[in-house]
Amino acid sequence: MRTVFIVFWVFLVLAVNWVADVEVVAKLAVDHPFIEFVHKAIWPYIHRPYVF
Amino acid sequence: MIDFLTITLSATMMALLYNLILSAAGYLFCRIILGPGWTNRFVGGLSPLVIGLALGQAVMGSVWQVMAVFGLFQIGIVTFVLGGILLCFGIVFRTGIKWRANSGWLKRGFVRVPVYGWILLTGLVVVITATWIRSFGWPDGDAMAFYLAQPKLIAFTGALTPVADYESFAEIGLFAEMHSAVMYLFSGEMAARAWLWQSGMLLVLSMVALSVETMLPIGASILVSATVLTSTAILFVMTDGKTDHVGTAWAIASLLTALKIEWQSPWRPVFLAALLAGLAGLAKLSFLVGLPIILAILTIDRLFSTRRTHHINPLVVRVIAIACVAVAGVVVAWSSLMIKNYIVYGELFAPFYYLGGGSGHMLNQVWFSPENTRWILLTYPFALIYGKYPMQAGNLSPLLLAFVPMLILAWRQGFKPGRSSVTLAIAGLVSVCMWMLLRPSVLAPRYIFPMTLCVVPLLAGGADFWLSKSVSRFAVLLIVSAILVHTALIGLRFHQGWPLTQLYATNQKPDGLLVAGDHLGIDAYPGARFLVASYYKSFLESKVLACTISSKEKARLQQLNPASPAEMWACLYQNGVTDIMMYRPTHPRLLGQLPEVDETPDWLDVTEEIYSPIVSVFRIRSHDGTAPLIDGCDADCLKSIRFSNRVECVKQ
Repeated sequence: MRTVFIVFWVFLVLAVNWVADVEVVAKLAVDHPFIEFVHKAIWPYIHRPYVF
Repeated sequence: MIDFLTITLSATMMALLYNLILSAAGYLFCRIILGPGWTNRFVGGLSPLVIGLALGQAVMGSVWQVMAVFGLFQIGIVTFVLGGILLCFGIVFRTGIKWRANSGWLKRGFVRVPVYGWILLTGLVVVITATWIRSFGWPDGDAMAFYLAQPKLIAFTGALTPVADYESFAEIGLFAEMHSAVMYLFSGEMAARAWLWQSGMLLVLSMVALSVETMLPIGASILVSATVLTSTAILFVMTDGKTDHVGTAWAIASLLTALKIEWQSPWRPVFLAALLAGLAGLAKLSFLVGLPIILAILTIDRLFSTRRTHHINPLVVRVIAIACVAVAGVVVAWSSLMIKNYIVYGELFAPFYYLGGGSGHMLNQVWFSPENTRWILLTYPFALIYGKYPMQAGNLSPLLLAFVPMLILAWRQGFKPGRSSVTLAIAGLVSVCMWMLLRPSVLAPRYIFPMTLCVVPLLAGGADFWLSKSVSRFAVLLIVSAILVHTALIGLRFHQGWPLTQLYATNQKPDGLLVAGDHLGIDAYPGARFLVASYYKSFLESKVLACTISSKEKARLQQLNPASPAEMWACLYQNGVTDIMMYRPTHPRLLGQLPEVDETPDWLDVTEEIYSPIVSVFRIRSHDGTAPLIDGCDADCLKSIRFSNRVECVKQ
């Protein structure tokens, strides 16, 4: 169970980076509704772009 | 492609040769400070190499800076000094170098590399190659504005001549920038970029050495490398032309030295650690918040763990004595900056304290509103890893988060990390908390690299333990695959810029801004001055860079307040400004101040050359071809005079 958790956790933290990082998404030209959904769902909680 | 490889490989060899000479210098300095046999203090053979190069870079950066202040930064004198270093090295080590007693460390280390480590190394090679290529590409932002422009100007003038518009910013320690200036002196921008990339590799090696010195296995060293090489903040600065990572490598070298402090004879390592930390802190001022805390915690821990007495009084006395030695090391480190700022600016303690009034504007930064600052603080450490705020310039590696549960489980499975790796991690966390308290709204990993990197060895050690002991090889394969995908994505990100990189490295001017910069000053009168309305200047010809009007002169021009458009053009011309470059995205206001090109006096012609929708060059010429009446800028004269005489050379 612990092993499953660790694998899940590693994929989670890396996947958040892959999906949420708009540069990677844009440069890979990934245009999928699911990625779009995750991007919009996660990003605002971590990322507040260009606000002073 | 052949051109690209020829240029980049020769630049890389040039930078490598220079780094080897700096290593020789560092080796000599280490022998002087730590005494003969200093390499035997360390566990691995890598640490002396890392400390030697870091110290050579840091000290020689100071030496070049002082030489530039006195106008002695000339190719002949620099060659003489470098030759002198090699000669001294040859004399001192004429009987050969005993690298270290335990010379089989490297060989044994490779034998012990776990299978997953070999797989990860392939991914890291991809990232290293991609960043090497990208490091010859178009620099972004700050590097193009200051960090490459300033060394270029210093190399051209042979003196510490501040770049126009950044006169006060040049008060910072230019320890790393001086090495770029050496590369400009002997070769050009590509060699400077190669040197900066190699300094990034020095940072990776210093982190590996740190994990070795904290007694972690070789697998942990590979995970440490993976963490550093998947931190986009580090990759961006080492490929961009900035210098934050150079000071970071020196800071890590100081921590390596601090790990060798012992109760019986702490003085020499303390002095060297303080010297390195002082130079690292002055190379990147924000490090001064966390580095002293980390070093203090490490030193006290080392004294406690190696003490010969259990009485408190000797301990207190020793700590006070060590603090005095550390202060001496910092003062030596600071001396070069004090000389520079006293002679150039008349301010002995700039940029910290101004005897003539004023405040440390560079140190009191507030980037965000209170509301957004609160949000940033609440999202630490995620803000450092996933955040994408203005001026942040990259993140720390998500592997830091990935390793946390592995460390916890490894602990429960019997992982016994070395005392020093735990102390380092605690010191790193404390210093990050201190940063959050003192500079809550400044969110940029590059400002706190050494503090954040302190936690990496412990996390990597735990992850290596868990991966090595894991019952499921399939799970290990999945995790390693995920990390490989991550490194591939990072490699891909850097590869995206390949066409632009190739054009830039082979001097093919891929953008209107660069073309405009190339044309600025063509057919200009002897002694012409240039008004550059752009933050970015590194691509300008050296002569143009030297004759660009300063921010004070620009302010004075703005106060002239001419009565008509024709008078405005005449006013600019009579003040020696014959060429104006305007970059609209950053300086749109200038367009509102400049009259139309046909509203000129009878005796002047103004033409606008448009190089892209956002870049223009205005040329102001008199009908009869006569130059402005005032004495202008003599760039050739600037090359041969000292800084203090520059005012005489650039008359208004």
